[in-house]
Parts: sequence; C-alpha cells; structure tokens
Amino acid sequence: MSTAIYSREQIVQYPGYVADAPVSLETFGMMLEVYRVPDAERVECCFQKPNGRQCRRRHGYGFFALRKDKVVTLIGNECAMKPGGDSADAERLRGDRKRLLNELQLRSKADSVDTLLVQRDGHIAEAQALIEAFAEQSQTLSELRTALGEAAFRRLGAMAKTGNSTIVIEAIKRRPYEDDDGRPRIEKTRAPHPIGRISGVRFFDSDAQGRAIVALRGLRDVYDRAASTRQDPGQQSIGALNKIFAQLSTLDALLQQARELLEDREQFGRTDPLLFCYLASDRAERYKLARYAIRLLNLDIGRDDAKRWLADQDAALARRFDAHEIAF
Amino acid sequence: MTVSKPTVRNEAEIFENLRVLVASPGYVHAIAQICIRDVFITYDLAGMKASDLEKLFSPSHLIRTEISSILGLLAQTPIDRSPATPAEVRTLIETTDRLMEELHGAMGEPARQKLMTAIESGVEVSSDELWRGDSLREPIFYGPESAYSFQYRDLASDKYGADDTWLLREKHFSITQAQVIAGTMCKLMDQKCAAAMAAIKRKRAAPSDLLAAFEQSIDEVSQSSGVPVEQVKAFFDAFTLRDGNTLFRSVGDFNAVNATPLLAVGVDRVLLFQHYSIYEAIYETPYYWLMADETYRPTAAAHRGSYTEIFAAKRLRKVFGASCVHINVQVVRNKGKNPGEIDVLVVFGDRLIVLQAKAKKLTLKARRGNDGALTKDFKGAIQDSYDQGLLCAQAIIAGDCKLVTDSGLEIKLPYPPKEIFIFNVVSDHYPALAFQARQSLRYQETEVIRPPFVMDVFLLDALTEMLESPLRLLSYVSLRVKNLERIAQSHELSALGFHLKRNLWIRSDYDTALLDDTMTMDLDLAMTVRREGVAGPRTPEGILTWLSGTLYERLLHQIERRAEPAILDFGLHLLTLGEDTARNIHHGLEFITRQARQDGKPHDFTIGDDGKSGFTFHCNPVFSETGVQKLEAMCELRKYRQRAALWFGVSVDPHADLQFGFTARSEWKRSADMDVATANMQAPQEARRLAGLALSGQRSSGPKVGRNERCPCGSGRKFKHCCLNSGSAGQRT
Repeated sequence: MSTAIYSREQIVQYPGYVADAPVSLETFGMMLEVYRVPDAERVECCFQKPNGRQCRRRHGYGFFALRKDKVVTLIGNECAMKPGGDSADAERLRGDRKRLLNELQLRSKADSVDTLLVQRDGHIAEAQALIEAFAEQSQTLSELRTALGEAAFRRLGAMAKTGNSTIVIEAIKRRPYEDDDGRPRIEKTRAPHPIGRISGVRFFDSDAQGRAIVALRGLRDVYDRAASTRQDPGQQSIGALNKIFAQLSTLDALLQQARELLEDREQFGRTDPLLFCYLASDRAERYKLARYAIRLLNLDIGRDDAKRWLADQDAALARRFDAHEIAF
Repeated sequence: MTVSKPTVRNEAEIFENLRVLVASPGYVHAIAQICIRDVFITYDLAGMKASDLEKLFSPSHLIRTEISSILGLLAQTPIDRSPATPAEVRTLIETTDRLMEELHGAMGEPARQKLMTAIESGVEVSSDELWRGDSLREPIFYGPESAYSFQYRDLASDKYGADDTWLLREKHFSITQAQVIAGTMCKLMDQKCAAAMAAIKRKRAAPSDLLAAFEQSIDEVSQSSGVPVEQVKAFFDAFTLRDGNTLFRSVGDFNAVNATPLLAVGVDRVLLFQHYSIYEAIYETPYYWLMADETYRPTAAAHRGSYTEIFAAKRLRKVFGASCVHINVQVVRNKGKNPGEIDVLVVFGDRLIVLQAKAKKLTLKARRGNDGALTKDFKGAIQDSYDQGLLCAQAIIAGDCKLVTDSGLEIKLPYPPKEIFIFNVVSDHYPALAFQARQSLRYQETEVIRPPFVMDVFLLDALTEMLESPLRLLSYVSLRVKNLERIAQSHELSALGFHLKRNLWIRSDYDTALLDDTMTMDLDLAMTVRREGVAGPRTPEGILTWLSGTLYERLLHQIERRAEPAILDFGLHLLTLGEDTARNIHHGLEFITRQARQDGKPHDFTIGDDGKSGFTFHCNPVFSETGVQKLEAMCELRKYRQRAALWFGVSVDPHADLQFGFTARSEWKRSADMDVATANMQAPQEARRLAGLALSGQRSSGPKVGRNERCPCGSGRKFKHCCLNSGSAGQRT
C-alpha cells in the first residue's frame, strides 16, 4: 500500500526522486504516490505547463510522478487536476491522477474492512450465544404471558414500545350536594396519581427481540459477504467496499443492543410486584395479577384470600391519596 | 328411444330465401324499422346509463353484420320505396328474424356436428380439430365488433393523415373532412330518427314515414357540417354503392355495402342506415383506393405500416410518458445475426413491453372458411409478429445485444428486465381475434417473458383510455396474460370490462372463466361518454372508482412516479387486492400517519393478504438507515409468522408520502431461531379494526357521526353499513 509522505525530508529520500526535475504532458509517465506536507514544508511543483513554463508553485498536496525516462518528480494536485488543454496527454495525466486516487481509496477502504473482519469469529460466537439467551428469554416471556394474562402482557408490550412504563391510578373523591332543585347529587372528582414504574419494560418488546434475532442471524452472512468481496478482486469497487464497511460497522452496535435487551429481564425482576395489579382493569385479570404479585412477594396468602388482599391494596391506595375509591 | 334431430336447412337455401324476401316491395321500410329496433338506443339527455345499452346485447336483436347482409341484398335490386302497410312490414320483419335465426343455426352446424359425432363415438375432439375451417365461420361472422363506431371515425385521421395529399387530389376531400361529413350524417340521422319516432308516438306520422329519417341530401349535409358542397358531393360519390353488389352471393362474400354504405335514392340523395357502416367505411375503404393506384402503392403501404406503430406509441406515451416509449428499436447483437426490430418498446422500471405491429387483414377466402387461408392469415398477422417479438425479448434477456433507435440513440435498460410483455397489435378489424388467438397461437412462456397479448388498435385505444396509469395498465396486462388460457370470451373487451368492474383476478382453482359479452356494458358506456360527448359516467363503477381519493390510491401514484423495481412489485400486488383489503390499507395508513403526526414516533401496521403474502406499513417521521433495517427485519418476522412466501414492507412519512419499499420473496422454511424470534410476537391488529382505529381519532375531535350519515372513511356508504361495527363503535363520541 502507498503511504502519504509527510515531510520534505521523506520526499527527498523517495527512491528515484530528482529535485527540480521538470515534467511536461509529453514526458509524464504515471503517478506513483500521494504526498501531503505541512504548510511550512510545501514543495515546488515541477509541472511544465503547455506554454513551456514550469509551475514552481508550492503545493502542500500533490503527487510523485514518474517521467517516461524513469525520473521521479513532483506535480501539485491542482496542476494534476487542470494540466491545461484538452489534448490526449492532458487527459492521460488527469486520468492517471484519478486512477491513483481510486486505487488509494480502494486500498484504504479494504484495510478498514480487513480490520473489522478480524472480529469475525468472536462476533459470530457471541451472536450465537445471544440467540440462545434470547431463546431462554423467550421461554420466560411465554411463561409470564400465561402468568400475567393476555391483557397485562399486551399492556406491557405497549409500554415497551412507547417507553412510558409509569402506572397511574385515579383517586376518586365523592362529595354529596344538592342541586338547584334540591335534589341530592354526588360530585365526583378524579385526580391522577402515578404509583410507580415497571422497570426494564423493554423486556416485553418482543418485536425488538425478534428484530435483534433476525439481525444476529444475518451477522454470519454479513461476514461471509465481506470475506467473499475481499477475496474476489472483480467485486472490489469502492461502492461495494463502502457498503460492506457500513454493514460491518453496525455489528458492534447490534451486539450491544442485543446485550441491552437481555439485561432488561433482570431489571424487570426488580419491579415492585404490587404494580402488576394495576396493569389490567378486568376483574378476573386483576385477580390473576394479584396472585402473581402475592407469589413474588412470598406472602402466605391462600388462593381464595387473593381477592381480599387485592381489595386491601386498593383501599390502602385510596387512603394514601385521601380518596373514596380508585380507578385505572 | 330415438330422438329425431332437428332438420337444419342448407345455408345457401336460407340465403336465397333472404335474397327473395329482401327484394319484396316495401322491404326498405322493414329495414328502417329493424335499424330503429336493433341499432338505435334511447336515453335520457341528462345522462346515458348502462341499462340503456342492454338491448344491444339481447340475443334476439340483429347484429350489425346481419343488418349489413340484408342491406347488401337490398342493394342488388333498385330500391322500391313505395309505402307498405304496418302489417306487411311486420310480416317482413318477422320473416327476416326467423330466417336470420335459421342462418345462424346453419352456420353453427359444422361445429355442432363435430361435437355430436364426438359425443356419439366417444372419441374426444381436440379444440384444434373442432375450430377449423367451416366451424370458424360462425364466430367470424357473429363475433362482437372489434371497434366502437366512433373509434373508426377518430382513428381514420391517424391512419390516413399522411395520405391527405393523394385523397385531396384523387377524391377531392381530406380525411378530416371525411370525418366531419360522416359525423354530421350520423348526427342528422339521429336527430331525424328521434323526431320521426316522437311523431309516430304522437300518431302524427305513420311507421312507414321512418324511412325518410335515414335519407340525406348533399345540401343538408353541407349546410349542417360547414363543409363545401363540392367536398360533400365528392364524399357521396366515393361512398355510394354503384354496382348492384353482384359479388355478394353468400355470407362470406365481399359485401360492397361495407365499403360503400350510402345507397342512392335519387339525384344527390342517399340512404344511410347505421353509424357503424359509414365510420367503418372511412377507416377501411380509402386503403383500397390507395392500393389501387400503382404509383402510389409503395407510399401507401409504408404509411400503413407506420400508422400502427405511431398510433401505438402515441397511446402508450399517454400512459407511460414519452421518455419510456421508444419507436422502431433495432435489437443489435454484439455477435451474430440480429433478431430484428421492435416496433414499439416500453421501458418502465424493470418491466418491458415489446410491441410488434402488423397491418394484415383476414382475407375473403378465410372468411369463407378456407382452412389454409385462415392459417396463413393468422400466421401473417399474429404468429410471425409474435415470433419476432419473442426473438427480440430473448435477445434482451440474454444481454448480448444493444437497443438502438432509428436516430442511432442507444437505449440503456435501467434494470435487468423482470417481466417482458409481448403485444401483437393489428391495425384493422380482425374477426374473432381473441378466439383465434386462444385457439391457434403457439407461444412460449419463461420466468421473464410472459405469454403474448394479442389485440387490435381499437383495444389498445380502449385499454390506454381506461387504464391511464402505468401500474393500472401493467397490472391488467399481467393478470390478462396470466389467465390467457383460462379466459374464454368472444372479444378482448369482455376481459377489460370485467377487470374494470371487479379486477381480473381469477381464483387458482377455476379452470376456465367464461366472460359474457355483457361484461362490456359499463365500458361501452364510458367509452361512448368520453368519445361521443354524451352525458354519463366517464369511468365504469368498479376498481377505478371505489378507492378514488384514498391513501391507497395516493400510494399507487407515488409508486408509479418512482418506477423502482423494489416497489413496482408492491404496486402491482396492491392492484390485485380486493376492495376490502385495499380499503383497510387506506384506513391503516390514515391511522399510523395521524399517530406519527401527533407523537412524532414511528408506527406500523400489518395486513395479511391471502395467507401467502402480506404487507407491513411503517410510518417513519424521519427517514433513516435504521428505519430501513427495522422494516426489513419486521417483514422477515411477519413473513415467517404468517408462513408466507411473499412479504412487502413499505415506509411512508407522516403525510403518507412514500419513503422506500422492500420485498421479501422466498419459500417458507422452518427455522429454530425464527421460531424463537416470533414466539411472543403480538398478532397484528385485525384488518377490519383498522377502519375503526382510523376513525377513532377523527371522531374524538369531531362531531358525532350519525348512523345514517355518510361514513367519514370516504367509502360513500352509510356509517352503519360501513365502519360503525368495525371494532370501535364504543368510541363514538
């Protein structure tokens, strides 16, 4: 691979380099390499313009050019881009500059791809392990689905998508009064009160987990495609390498996301079990949720007493918010 | 038990009886009344309705070719206009109807005989053997018309515009003047007939006075049309039958009335009985004049050849845009013999139409049932043209050729072709074309090259008139050629008429769909409204109307503008959906785009189609590469979950503008990983609930929708019959 030259000293040491050797359109052979020097070390351009004059401008960026007589000299980038005229030789010079830049870009991109390819085996093994962990998590989710009931499970899924996992109840206060005709009436006022958050709710984002598994499954394909592109010179265009590089670059993030999705399970386990009782409004569903909460709280309450326990929890909340009843 | 077979008289005998009948005194009055009965339609000036056209489909009415045959016989003797009593006329009409019915039976006899013999002998008769020679005469004579009368009128200038100099020099009128004069004569005929019928109804005129309504003079036509008398006179001279029509001795013979439909009834006066005759004559007859001029013949032949190509290109450009349609494209092989020229090439995304045009007619010999002539005519008009189209299509797929226009420009295909449709278009009326193509065309079908679509210029005209957008046209063509062998019809317009009503999607377990001629009724009406300027519906009620103004249709328009392979498939698939599914897509899009506008977050919904395919729609407020990956993964999950082979993913922005599309196509295979990935996936919203969801947002912020009010979803139906029970009735506010 060509290396850009960074100092005047390195330029002088370049094999075959002859200082101040003019190169014209006719004597130009080919571009060898790029140089780039700091402003203070700019070097004179040796390009001899079609009018016979040597450019002599000091360029910070340009090319080592090989003359037809094998002498190596320098052409600044601007002169290489616009050598003047539209003769076949001028076109040859412009074309050769493009060729070299493309080659350099291709090599640079290929190096980047190769650097990422090194991670192949490690990534594939981790992806497989993550898929297995997701399989286990999926089993847990299925069990939870049965334990919590469909309504609560859906609610948790919706929370996972919106990111809003706060459980809010309404504290209802009743105030008796008489209307203008003297008839007894009851005024109800409702005040929303958040009572807590379900932790690690993304654990219930089965779509995100599904997408992660799809992506993890495709990880090996991405590496295989990358390897095949690198092995086949016919496929190695900058576009193809860019595409492969972009795909490989996302894999770290993909694995990280998958790891995070698996961490949510643990966080979910730290949720206050009482909150589960307020995930559904249907009476039967709530008893089911209450039994689940009781189990998590390790309370010594019989199956038949779950209803009473739930009523006590509701009453406690009502008292807490100085209300007559609660709704959600 | 023996069953006596009905005696079928010989066709020649019946024809002779007809000839004698038509020569009866006063028969011309009977013709006038038959025309009023069978050709004229009455309608409310406020708007023509499809039911007004019903009588044209009645099996008891005489069709145009039958009336032309009677007129052909009438022209063999001097026309006797002496009055006839109503009873005499009635008898003449009844006898005509009886003889015509008998003639139809006699012409259908050869096919019937072959079938009966096969049934009695138990030996199956192949379709090729059955529909050969004599048997084909019946569908050729009784088959529906290729063209609407006004198409003959309107297309005449396309056909002969380049020959105007000759026409002016030799015939003293231009083709445009011929169009105007013919149009005026038809208008005068309509006005006079309407007035005569009103007078008869009010008993101020006798039925025999009807004949005068069909009579026209040079002066009145000139005055009414604004064309100078000399030109009208020249027109009358050119289209008046002179020689007594002596060659017309049987049904398949040349009937001069078709070429020269004006019957002279005195100096400068003629009888004209049908719109169709004069319009057909101005389209067909000039060709014979031009070809009779030996010096001009090569020029006329060249004009005739290029007419079909230019006309086809003009109509297809109207649909696909000028940049997608190329004319006279040479297929040049890099090595070896060139496959030939494509007359018109349409390139739309990865879909191609290779159109081959021919200007061949069915010869008289073939019309008389000559097997060899039928085969030769078909080969010259259709089979050869198809074969050339196939060669060109194969060369394009092989990729070893260049496509170069007349002007030397190379056409670069934007994508490798996914489907190539071969159109074979004939420039003239080719009797029983659909029937013959189904019976006789030998073709190949590959993964890319679709079966051929055979048509005449008139069908192409109607197709591009009704299916004005690329997707609509391609969708129809795709469905039509897919069902090439399964659709039995006497004319291609039946399939188009059916499609416009309810989509030409035919269940895979149906072997054959028999499409009745009445399928075209709404299409006939729409074409008449558009081309004749009468009041009435311009578009048949059906696939083009039921979803107009919806987001579903908006999506289709956007897909057409992009013409990218990734979304073209999706667009074409959308068009195969039934109304309910399409409406659910509209509601779903309404719902997710509104949600996204409100909360700025992505939303999605999924619709399974027929169990084998489905759609996932995303609404992404901000386009991103992550969004693309997310949609692709979602499609893969849904596809797996539904065990589908095809899944489409589409992303739109909050204004329902298309962002990108994605197609997943692969056979379903079980995978342990995918089982895990989809195990806890939530089922998509039921499609029927989408309407309710879409409406819920509207309703909460708007006024209450009454049960009997129009549904806000735009279906045009009452709310109670539409979205009220679609899952969100409780949300009405």
